[in-house]
Amino acid sequence: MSPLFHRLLPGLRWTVCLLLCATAVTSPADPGQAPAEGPVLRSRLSASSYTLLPGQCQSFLVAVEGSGPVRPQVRWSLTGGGALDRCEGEAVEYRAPRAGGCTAVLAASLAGAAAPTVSFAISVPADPEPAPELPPAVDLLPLLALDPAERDQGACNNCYAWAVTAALEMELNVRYGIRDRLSIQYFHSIYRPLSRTDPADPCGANPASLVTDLYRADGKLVPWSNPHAEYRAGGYPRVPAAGGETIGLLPHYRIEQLSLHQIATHLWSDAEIIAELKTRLHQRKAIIFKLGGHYAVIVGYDARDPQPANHAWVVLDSLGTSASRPGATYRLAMDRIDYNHQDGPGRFSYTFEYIDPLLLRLQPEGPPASTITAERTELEEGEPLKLVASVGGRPPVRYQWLKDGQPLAGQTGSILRLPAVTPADGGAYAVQASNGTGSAASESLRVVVRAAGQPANLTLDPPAATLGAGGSRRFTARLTGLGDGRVRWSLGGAGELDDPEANPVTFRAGRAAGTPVLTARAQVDPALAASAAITIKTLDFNGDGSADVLDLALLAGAYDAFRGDPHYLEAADLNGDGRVGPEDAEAFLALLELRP
Amino acid sequence: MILRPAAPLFLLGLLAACGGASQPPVAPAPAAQARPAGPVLGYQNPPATGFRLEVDPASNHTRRLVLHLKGPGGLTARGVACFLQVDPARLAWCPPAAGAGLVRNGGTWGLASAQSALIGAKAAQGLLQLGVFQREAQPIKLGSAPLASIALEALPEAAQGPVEWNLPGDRQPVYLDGERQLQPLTLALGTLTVE
Repeated sequence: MSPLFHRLLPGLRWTVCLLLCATAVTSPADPGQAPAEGPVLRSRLSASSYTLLPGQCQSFLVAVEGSGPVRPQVRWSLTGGGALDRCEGEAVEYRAPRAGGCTAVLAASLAGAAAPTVSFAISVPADPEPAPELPPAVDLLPLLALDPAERDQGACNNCYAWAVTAALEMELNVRYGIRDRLSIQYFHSIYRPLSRTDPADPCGANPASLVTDLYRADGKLVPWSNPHAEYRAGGYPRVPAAGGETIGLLPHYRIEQLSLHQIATHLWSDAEIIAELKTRLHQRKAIIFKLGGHYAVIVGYDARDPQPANHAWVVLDSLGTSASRPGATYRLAMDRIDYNHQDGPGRFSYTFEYIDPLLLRLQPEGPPASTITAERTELEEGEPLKLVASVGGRPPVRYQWLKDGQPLAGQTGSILRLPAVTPADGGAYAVQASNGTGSAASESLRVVVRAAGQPANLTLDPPAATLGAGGSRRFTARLTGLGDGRVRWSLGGAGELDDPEANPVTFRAGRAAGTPVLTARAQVDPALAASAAITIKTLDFNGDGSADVLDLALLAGAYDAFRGDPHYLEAADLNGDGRVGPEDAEAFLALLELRP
Repeated sequence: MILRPAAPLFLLGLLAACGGASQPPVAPAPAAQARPAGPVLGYQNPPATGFRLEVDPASNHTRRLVLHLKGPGGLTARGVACFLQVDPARLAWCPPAAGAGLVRNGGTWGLASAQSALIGAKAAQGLLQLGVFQREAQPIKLGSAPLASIALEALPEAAQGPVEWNLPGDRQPVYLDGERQLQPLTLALGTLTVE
């Protein structure tokens, strides 16, 4: 037998109490103990007859007057339908039967008295709305976007959070038609003790109401589609913000109203409680079920078998999957529970709660707006890549990651992870985010992957250039290690490029001297760049304001010369090769159109 | 006057050549040939000393006047550069020989080709700039041979009479001496007449 059922040993306290009440009413009084004039029992209520609704609870109070030092005990008896929470004391609580259509007499007497001295007549009319005919089985599990393997609280005692969150997910589906998963981790991130008795951290045992209280105070439900919403067992305290693992607030559901309703079972019979639970499940209310110190969720029942002993609750747990708990669920026989068992006075072993109401303020319709962030976009081959989508707009959100505009197979989460990148993984990444009202792609994010052992390298040929005003020079960019050799050119200074994306590119100098800088950047990694310093020399060597044959005379004077005026030796060296030679002469004649 | 049938086409080609476009073959003007239609150019040489322009006798009094640039014999020089201005309404600079540019290397500095010397020439608005320099390392002593040749053409509507032509004052002609230093020169011009 499962250890669980050891905790479900039938508690007979309530049954024994009723028997004692009956005994008090029916036992003959001891004449020797009945005082001729002694304490008197009087009603503290204004009326002696009451009409209650089916299932309604009502307190009845009496007072003992004229008693001596020893106050006699008040005993209650009940005839007819309904139930009492106790049979002694000056106050009791009566619960009318759920079905109604009966009468009862509630009587109080002093211990030892021969006859009751105070009685109340109770009438419970029949329920005008008869209980619905319940189906033989109810299964709310399809309301959940369930991944059984992930439904594992691990070493963290946060079953209460798992249970309430699952019930919220089902209510989200029932009320809004939204089938989405909510983040347990987000609850951890907002956790704080609300009373002195609450544990300091969310992995301590807590009541279910703490979850709804904190969610309501925070005002948000964060879905699993939030990039950091995945629950990690033992993940408290949460990872610091510097690690990039704090939970973003987008997307989320804005809470307008959220309450947890507890089913009062303590005056009901087991059969009535079972009927009540079945009714709630039929109304598609998941039941947050506390078994001793553990919370789970009743997500359905199976009463199809003719034998009531085989009727069972379907319980969704948060302890992962096992042979006895496939799909994170198990069956719990209905008749194996003493529904009103108390661990101590007023401490019921089992509680049953459900979400009511859940009211959200949904974001306006429209496609979600998304952005991508990454800790690193420049990677070495073999390193992991992690891209995170942050999405605003109405959840639930679906994702499709794109690379260079093409969908990536299987990459449909809010986080794109590649465990070990290759140079082929470099490119422009974007995410297409969709919700029920539209779809939109983010701006792309460039990822660069360098081949292992081969650092990305970009060089220019020539690495620098000197040329005469009006001249041109072709530059070639040599890009290795990125898998994509495309470059984009830019020019700092005067001059022109024939095509900023051509390789090689032709630079054309202006008519004035100058020192522009030509830069090539890798298209897949703009941070990788190489520059060439260009020196544009004037053809007006003598500085008389005109480039002409007099300057040709100076060039001729420096032609193939190793001595002479250093100024002209340098000035006429138009290609910067350290001498004035044929190339300089041809360039000069060509640029000035002096060819005869 | 008797014109050969091809003469009009020849004249058109010559005009086009003076415009700087294609360069059709230029037939030498034989002295014994009849005077061509339109204006011709006559030239009287300056004194035969120093740097000067002397006419190619065969071209004198023809439409295309070829002038030879000569220098003082015995001067060591590596080249010369100068500017010549004519009235663009009356004259145009033309190739001195078939297949040549505006300047023909005389052969003193390098072989008689443009490639063996540094030769540059350009004409615009009647202003001719020319430079002829040697590429070889060893300087050359000038002799009597022409250093370079240029040519002028009278435009068809050119008025007859003496032609004012000169060396622009702001463009001092120079020669490159044996030590690769620029030296000013005085270029003597003869008398030019549109006839």
